[in-house]
Amino acid sequence: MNAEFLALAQMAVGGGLMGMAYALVAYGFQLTYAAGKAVNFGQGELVMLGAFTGLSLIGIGLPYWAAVPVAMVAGAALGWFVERAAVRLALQQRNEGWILLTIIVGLFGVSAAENIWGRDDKPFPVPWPEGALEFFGISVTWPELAIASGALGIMALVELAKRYTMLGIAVQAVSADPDAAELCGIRSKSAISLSWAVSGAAAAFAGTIIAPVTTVGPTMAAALTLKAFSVAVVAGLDSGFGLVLAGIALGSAENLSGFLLGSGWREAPGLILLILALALRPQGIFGKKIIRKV
Amino acid sequence: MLKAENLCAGYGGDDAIREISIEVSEGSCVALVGANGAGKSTLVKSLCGLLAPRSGKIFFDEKEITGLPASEIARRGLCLCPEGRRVFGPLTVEENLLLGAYPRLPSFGPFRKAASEELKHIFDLFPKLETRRSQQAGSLSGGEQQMLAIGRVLMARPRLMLLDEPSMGLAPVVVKEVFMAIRSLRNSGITILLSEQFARSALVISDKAYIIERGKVVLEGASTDLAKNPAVIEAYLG
Amino acid sequence: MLVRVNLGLREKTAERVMRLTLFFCLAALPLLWHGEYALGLLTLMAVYGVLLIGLDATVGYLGQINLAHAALFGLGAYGAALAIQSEVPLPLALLVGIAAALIPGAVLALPALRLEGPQFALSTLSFATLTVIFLNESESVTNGALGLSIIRPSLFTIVLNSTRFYWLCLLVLFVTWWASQLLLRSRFGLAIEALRDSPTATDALGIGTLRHKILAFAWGSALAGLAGALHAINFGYLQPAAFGYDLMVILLLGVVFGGRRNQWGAFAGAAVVTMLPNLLSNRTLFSSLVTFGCLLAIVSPIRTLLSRKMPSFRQTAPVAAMGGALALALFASNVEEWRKGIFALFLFAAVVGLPDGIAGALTAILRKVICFAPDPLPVATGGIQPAKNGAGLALQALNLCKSFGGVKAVDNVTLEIITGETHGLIGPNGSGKTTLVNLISGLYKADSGSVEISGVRPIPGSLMSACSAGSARTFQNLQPFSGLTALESIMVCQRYGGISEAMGWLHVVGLEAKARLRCSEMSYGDLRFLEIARALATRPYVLMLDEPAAGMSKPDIIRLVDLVTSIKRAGITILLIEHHQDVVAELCDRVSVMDGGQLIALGTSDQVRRNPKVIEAYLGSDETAIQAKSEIGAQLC
Repeated sequence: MNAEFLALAQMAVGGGLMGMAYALVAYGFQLTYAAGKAVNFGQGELVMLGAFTGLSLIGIGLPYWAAVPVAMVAGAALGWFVERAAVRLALQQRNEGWILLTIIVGLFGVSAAENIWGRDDKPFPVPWPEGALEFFGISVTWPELAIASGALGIMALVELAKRYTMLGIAVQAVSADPDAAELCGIRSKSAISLSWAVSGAAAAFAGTIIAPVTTVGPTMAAALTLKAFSVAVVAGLDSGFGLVLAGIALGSAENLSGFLLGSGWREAPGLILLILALALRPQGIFGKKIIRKV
Repeated sequence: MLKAENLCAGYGGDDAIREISIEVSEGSCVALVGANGAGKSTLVKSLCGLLAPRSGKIFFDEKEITGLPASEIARRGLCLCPEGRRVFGPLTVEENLLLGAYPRLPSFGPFRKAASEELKHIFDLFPKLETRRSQQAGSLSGGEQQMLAIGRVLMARPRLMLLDEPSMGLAPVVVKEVFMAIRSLRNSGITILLSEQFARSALVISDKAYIIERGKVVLEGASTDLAKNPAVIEAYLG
Repeated sequence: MLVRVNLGLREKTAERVMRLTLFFCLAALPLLWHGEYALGLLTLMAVYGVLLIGLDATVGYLGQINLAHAALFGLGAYGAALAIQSEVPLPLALLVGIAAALIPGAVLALPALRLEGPQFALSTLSFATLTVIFLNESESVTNGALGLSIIRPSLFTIVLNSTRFYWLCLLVLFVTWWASQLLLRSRFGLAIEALRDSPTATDALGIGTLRHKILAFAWGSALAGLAGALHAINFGYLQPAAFGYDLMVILLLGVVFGGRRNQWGAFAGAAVVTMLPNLLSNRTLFSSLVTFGCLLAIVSPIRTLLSRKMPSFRQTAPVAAMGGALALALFASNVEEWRKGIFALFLFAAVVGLPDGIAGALTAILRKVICFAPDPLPVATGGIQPAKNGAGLALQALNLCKSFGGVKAVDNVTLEIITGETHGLIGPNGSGKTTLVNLISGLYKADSGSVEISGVRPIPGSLMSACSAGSARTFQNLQPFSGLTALESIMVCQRYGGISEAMGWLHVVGLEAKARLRCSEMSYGDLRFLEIARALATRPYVLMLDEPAAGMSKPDIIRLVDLVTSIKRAGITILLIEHHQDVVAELCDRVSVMDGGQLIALGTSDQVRRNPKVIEAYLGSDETAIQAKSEIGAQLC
């Protein structure tokens, strides 16, 4: 009995730590949504491309610690590109064409990845030491710790920048009222582009951090996008901390359902949670109840 | 200082303003008066760049600014205090004020120090804001938000200040306070262009006024003359 | 520029002729040209045609990104396959296929369609992913990832060889096409268009956004199921992974590239989707097609450059996308491997540069070249009927309160309007007049207080309920159905009656001559009158007009006063918000005045104008200008 419970707890904790990576991707959604009420339906593809970029950089000899920031820069560039190509036009026209366009750009990303890096899943060199730490009978491996601390670290960094730099406050202003921000001399378009770039960098970071644990492949993208959406919807897009909790919960639930029901059903809790959240409390993600003005 | 020539602008199919020309000279206070729907807001938005005019030109300090983005026009010194205040609700009073001076402040680094002089000046002008300095702007009353919005514009050290219906939605007592503040600003030498629904208050406070009806200027002249003109009453009541 | 050919035909007739010709040609093809492979492609095209017509219902007509369609297709396929394995006759198996998609689709639709845009897309995406997991894991039923095989059944006693099965699919496509066209060009279709342009007005006029969205989605799902059934019979082998995200994107490509809101577009898209994989393997053909596409795309930006302006993103992005596709066609070592990427580039170019797709572009060209005869309009009948009012108070709003984030927009307001009265509601900007009307008409839910319309208490916060109770309104900021014509706007609002009654309403407001004019092309003044006609067409007890004269020219205001006077004479109760004091004075029996969310005066128009509180509210007060104040006050009296 005790051994079984411990096994379940092990699954839950392991999954929970992984779940923080989902929270990080979901955090990317929060950033772009706050800026211009749009999210990247191809965010998972950005994670994958970040991971692949990291892989290639390590392949040409860069140590992991250097590859990650460079991959982040690539991610930022991609994020900026997605905004420019797929989002800006729709935002200007005040319609939701960005949904389809970000899906399309993501699709192109998958195709490019398949051709540049091949269709197979590739292993990512593990930069962490072997072994694990023990807490109350549950072992936490170094990769899991790295993922959790990395995700939390990046989110904390961006939140600090948002609150304590003038640039961050300006981005908050653009989120609240882009026209009024323009009147203060803030270039709203640039603020939105910046948010997308940071979101892209966060996605790339998530990719390089997860990759040592899972493999890197074109298929990781789609699954990840939905999981991140589940976290974002269930938690609501208001507080970074809520995302973390939801991420931990989802990761645990995933591991447990895979363990108890079979690996095919791993994805199910996230999806069911997403549908339920959308059905019961949709304003979790895409806005507080909008007051229609006529 | 500010000159608009034959401006046409609007939303959708029709033009809300047709061939409007106005002029504001340095140091003066000019009023735009007209009923609701006359086109004042459209004119104000065109002047400060939130709406691109369909035809016509706008000159600020002899340089053309037609079609420039609003942030660029604001950086040149033509600053709008928008209709409905539009303070940044989730941010504090102090953050709102700092944002007014955004172009001058360092993006990263000690901005509060750089702006402390100006902040002090604003707080002297509006002491109520100082007591609420760390409060969320969205929780302020209508009148306080109006003071905050004006303060935000002042932080930008504007060359010309545009006020779009500062009295809208405010109780009469508060409106009086707002106009007193505007009068003191005017007395300190700032050039002001004021758009108002309430004819009398606007005429009392300004040197020159334009009466706008259905998208066109129907009367213009010195405010003291217009205040005595019965045609103003007719135009104002539509 | 081009010569216009004048046919004596109506556009509808021409389209029908074209459609019939197409089907005869398609049906005749196997008789003239023998080739199993070609026949297989044509059959696939017919099946995709049905599928895309179904997808167009949500993506084109509703304008929502529906990512569940491929999964519903799969459910239909599996449903029919299992039925066939159980020896169910073919027509019934088709019905099972429809049900297998329709039922889950309806279950999804109920929560999903309360959502908009990205939320809707997300919920459909989750559903799709869950479906594939379900199909994979239910191995005992579906054989999971190993796949399900079936033998092609006969239709009663007729053996279905390739040609006969092709004709069956073609028949289904024809019927589906015709039925869709009928459905989506009827009043139902008008309602779908209306709810896209202004969901608020659609609900406020009693048309109903949710029910129409659900029906359109259900229709699309049913067609997905039908196509799935045909697909199962056609292929004979099903695998869950085939109905996943990859297929969904291909379907989106077909619908968008072919042309949304258009059955011809869905068919064109089906043709493209069927042909594209084959095109990709023939590099020369593909390269030439893409080059052609590039040249087409580059026309627009070059024109703009020649007139010395910078081309917009809209113009340059398709060129970049098609250029990318050309580069891939010329230089990629294996074009097949880049399939997804090429689809993505095509789709991008289509969404940005060709929003109406191929079919839309061709239709536009055809319309420029050919002059079709206009549809005849019947004579107007009807007019403002005397209201069938209930007894007592037409409107009773008691102690209504509504706050938005700490600001009291409406503060304990009571408004009682007698049947047949024309009641004015005035007050300065921001005093809460529109919020009050929004509370009464059901747009907002009051924090406290109650509303009764002719004795009936509608559900608070429900526009539809308030409309059923007998209220109708116009909007301060116009809410036109921009995609509809004036006549269609009235027809979609009418409870009873047909075109002649609708013409009657247009006649009442003086817009009879503009019946066929699209709302997006109508002038501001005309749109204001059309809003009133729309509201009248719902035959309300209480008509609420929110600043109908705003922005109107002097002659239009006179027309407006005449119109409201005739509405008054017919006995319809009116609540009129207005700023123009002369209009209020002429029309209103009594006037309520609001300021700062509160009711500050109630009386006849004269009484209210003399009330010092009212004067102060409108003109403000300034102790140093008492002289001016009394002058202006004197002018008002």
